[in-house]
Amino acid sequence: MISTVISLYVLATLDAMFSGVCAASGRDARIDKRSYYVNAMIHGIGWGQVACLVGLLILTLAVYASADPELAVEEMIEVGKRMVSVYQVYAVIILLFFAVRAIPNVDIRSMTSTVAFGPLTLIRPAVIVFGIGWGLAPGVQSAVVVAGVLVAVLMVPFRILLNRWFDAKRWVAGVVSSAEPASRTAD
Amino acid sequence: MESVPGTLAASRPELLEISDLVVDFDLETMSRRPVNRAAVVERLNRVGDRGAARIVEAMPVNGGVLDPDVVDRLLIRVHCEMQRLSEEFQHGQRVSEFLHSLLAAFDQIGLSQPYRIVDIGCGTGYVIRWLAARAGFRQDVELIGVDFNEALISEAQRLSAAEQLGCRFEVINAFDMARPATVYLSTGVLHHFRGQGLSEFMLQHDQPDTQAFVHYDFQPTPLARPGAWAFHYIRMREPLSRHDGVISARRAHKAATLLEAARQTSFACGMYGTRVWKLPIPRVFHTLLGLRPEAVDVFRQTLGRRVGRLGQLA
Repeated sequence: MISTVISLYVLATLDAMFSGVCAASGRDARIDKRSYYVNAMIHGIGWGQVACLVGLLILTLAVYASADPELAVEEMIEVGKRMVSVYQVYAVIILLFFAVRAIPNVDIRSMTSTVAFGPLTLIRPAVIVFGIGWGLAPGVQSAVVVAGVLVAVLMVPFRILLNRWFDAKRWVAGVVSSAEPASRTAD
Repeated sequence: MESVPGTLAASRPELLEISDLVVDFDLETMSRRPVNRAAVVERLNRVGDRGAARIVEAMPVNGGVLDPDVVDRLLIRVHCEMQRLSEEFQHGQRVSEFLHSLLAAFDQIGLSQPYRIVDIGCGTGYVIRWLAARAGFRQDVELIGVDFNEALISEAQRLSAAEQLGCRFEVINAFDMARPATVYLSTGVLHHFRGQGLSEFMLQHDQPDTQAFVHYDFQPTPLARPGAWAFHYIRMREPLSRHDGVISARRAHKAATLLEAARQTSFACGMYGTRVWKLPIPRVFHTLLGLRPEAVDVFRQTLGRRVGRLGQLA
């Protein structure tokens, strides 16, 4: 049980961290953005902890609402194990492509974007739904099904919500500088 | 950039980018002209682009004229999103590697220095700023970005100052500068010139001190449209970015069209980097290169192992 919970927590935190990077991307036009992305990761992880707590709350309520709480806990652990089996494959693929991206070659690095990170970002919601669907597939009591659906509803739009939060916090380019006006002259 | 209706065979003037329509400049004075929203919407509707018309309809107006401040802020956001794609595609490093080979060739043929690299239509100046921050050029290599849009240039200056980069940005027509560039550079600009406008643009490079031009633009391949759609859908937030990104890929010029226009100049012209390594996989961008004939042989040497990417220069 503990290893399943820890695995799911680590995977969720990793997803939240990368979600922070995705939501922060394209908002800062500086060249050196290391500290900016570290900050984005921290915010992603922070909101990921909030999402994990909400998920835990959903599961706790589902246990209390179920006809057989003991069985519900056992079923949730089985569902969690099956979810981990799906999500860890997705995570390993992403981490492998990060390893490939470390090769200092512009073509290899740009290809990791075109053939890996772009498509993998696109299918993220489908992977989340598939993972929960795969977990619930063997058949569980209705309270566990409802909890699974609610967790999916929490996880799928996480990146969108993070984007909105960054919008609201003005993590956004486009504020015209009050610095000196642009030069209009030839040299 | 100004769209100019023209005659070259591969031009497709019916595809319009919103960013070309929502700003207008007097090319003589470089001053901003008011843009009537209804006229832009009508023009987009006329070419059947209802989605683009809806995007423009949502933009605020003052007395029917698009609010220039709102448009400027939008364009800065769009350029910031475009920079993200450039970063993912390692465009700064790609340009840097190419320019190092080019400048090494200039050194070997004994060209007088300093070298001036001018990025045409630089927007918020990503390429020039990247080169200033990371390329490691000698101090006598001047890096200059130019654009018609004052707001974009102001942003480029602000960003450059924030990181204390050795480059500068100006609101000026690149070909009207008192001292022409040694190398003219651009990214995603060529497809804005249509028909005769493309020929006129190329002919302006033919200045005595100019030794080369290097223009990067989308490569029109069967994968370009779905690829552009997927990437702009995933990576962009602004509807304008998504729309114009896809249209840019759709209206990109074929290599033959670019070469037809470029070979009207006195440069030896060819395409560079059309395929990934020696595989039948097209690159997202191809590069139009024009080089003074006397530098061609040396440049082939300075390119090193990348010489296989260079097409015929004629």
